[in-house]
Amino acid sequence: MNAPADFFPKGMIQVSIDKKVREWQEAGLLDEATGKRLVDYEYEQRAASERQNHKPPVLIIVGSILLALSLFSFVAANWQVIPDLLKIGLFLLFMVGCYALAERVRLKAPKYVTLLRVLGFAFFVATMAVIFTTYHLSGQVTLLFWIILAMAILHRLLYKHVFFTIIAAIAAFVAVTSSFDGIGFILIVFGLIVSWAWFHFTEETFDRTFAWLTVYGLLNLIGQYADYEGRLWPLWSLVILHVFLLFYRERAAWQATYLFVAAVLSIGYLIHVTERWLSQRPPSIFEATLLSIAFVAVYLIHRRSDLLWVSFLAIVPFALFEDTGVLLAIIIEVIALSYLIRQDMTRQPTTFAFIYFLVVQLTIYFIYVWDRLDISLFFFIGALIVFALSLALWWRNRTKGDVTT
Amino acid sequence: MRRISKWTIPVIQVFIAILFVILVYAVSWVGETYTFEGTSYEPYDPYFGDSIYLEYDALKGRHDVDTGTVYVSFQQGDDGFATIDRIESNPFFGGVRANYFDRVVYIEEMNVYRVSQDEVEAVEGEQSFTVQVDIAPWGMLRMYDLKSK
Repeated sequence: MNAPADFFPKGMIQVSIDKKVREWQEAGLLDEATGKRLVDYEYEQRAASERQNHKPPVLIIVGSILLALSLFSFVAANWQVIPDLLKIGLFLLFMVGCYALAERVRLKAPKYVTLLRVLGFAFFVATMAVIFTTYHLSGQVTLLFWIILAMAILHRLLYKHVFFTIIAAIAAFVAVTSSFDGIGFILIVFGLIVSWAWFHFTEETFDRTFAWLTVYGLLNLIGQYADYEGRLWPLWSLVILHVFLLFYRERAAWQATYLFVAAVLSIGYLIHVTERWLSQRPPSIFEATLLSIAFVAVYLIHRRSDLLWVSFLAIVPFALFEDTGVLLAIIIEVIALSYLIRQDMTRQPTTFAFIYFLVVQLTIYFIYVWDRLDISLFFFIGALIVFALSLALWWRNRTKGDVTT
Repeated sequence: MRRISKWTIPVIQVFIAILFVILVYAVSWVGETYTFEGTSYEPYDPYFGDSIYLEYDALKGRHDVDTGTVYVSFQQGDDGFATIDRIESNPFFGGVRANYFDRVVYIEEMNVYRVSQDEVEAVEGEQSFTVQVDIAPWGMLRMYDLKSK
């Protein structure tokens, strides 16, 4: 060890303080109690600074960084010739190492625990990536995404950190979108169980919203799996999801996702109603009626004012019979406006109602004006509409403020 | 309880990784072996790398199946080479995932063959090959024993 710097002061204090205090006591400058306190204080200071100064010397830090770098570059340079199993074992070792380290520093340095666990999860994903690339398993990629989602959710449930919610949400998005290529029955059931567990075992709104959206995505995948030919399956999925409301009755913020998805669906149908793939395959009258009844029934069963707006989607299947889209545009316009006005009248937050109203305006404007105007004029008028609407909202808020004060 | 739950996640993840590796090796243990005829676009030259890109003319699709992602199983033809048996849009037990467009079925895992050191001499300069493929019931496959035809 670096002897002179560490060793000397210790000896010096031992000698000098003890000696000095005794000297002062003998000279009658200090009483015995004060002298003892002085010595104790100095020893305490000494111990504290020793604890703080217990750092590895600079050379060792630099040396270990260099060693790590050379190790990494050595492994990277010989990656091709390392046996497959050794590669995988190496990654698994790093993964377990991260989790073990997280457990070790849990009490000493809690702020690094989550970072280490995220690293451990990252190494798990990396391990699976190595396995999949070395053995060419591109056919099983969908299964891998669902497994990664399940592990992310398990992290969330056991380690209870919100960061894993974000990871799980990303994994869920990737898993659902990659499954549209083709997904088997077993995988659908696995996905449903996993995302239900995510929904059920966390109380957080944030988690439940994403879990709910994952279940919604899976229900849409079932339509794909069953070779459903019509264009109304996203609406059916929303109807099916109301079952959740029978079991999770308490009013919670995640339930606003019903409204959100309904809003997105209405815009989606509005955009596509004039396009061929939708307008050339009108739904059967029977299915449209059944769907409308289902939506109304859902509202009548739950009797909740926010679900009333979701049940307005009952109009969509019938509006699809009219393929210029004017009917659907008018209906959605009226609904958006009345929703905005109702939110305003009942003094509830109008932000989302206003955004929805704005998006509806712009969608209708895009659909019906895009082909008919010069492009610069198109954007100029569009900007004017947005500006006028924002001005109206601002004016409305201002006068409302005046009234309440 | 606390002591067990601490190690749950790492243990499960190690288990998943090992499971996949075992599944890969199990392809040769329980899988069925088929012989495929493949051609490469140009003669194999080891100078440009250890991979051969193979095409299979025998893998034709059918009219009643939508293009895009499909799942296929194989059967042995009269000439001893594999042809497509079942082809469906949804996964089924024993089906291999493939892409279907231009009336041809492409299997991503079978597009590239990694030539090992002892095979180089036998296949250098060749363009048409036969290759053995083990196909497991869970849809994984393994190629080996590339020979010039």
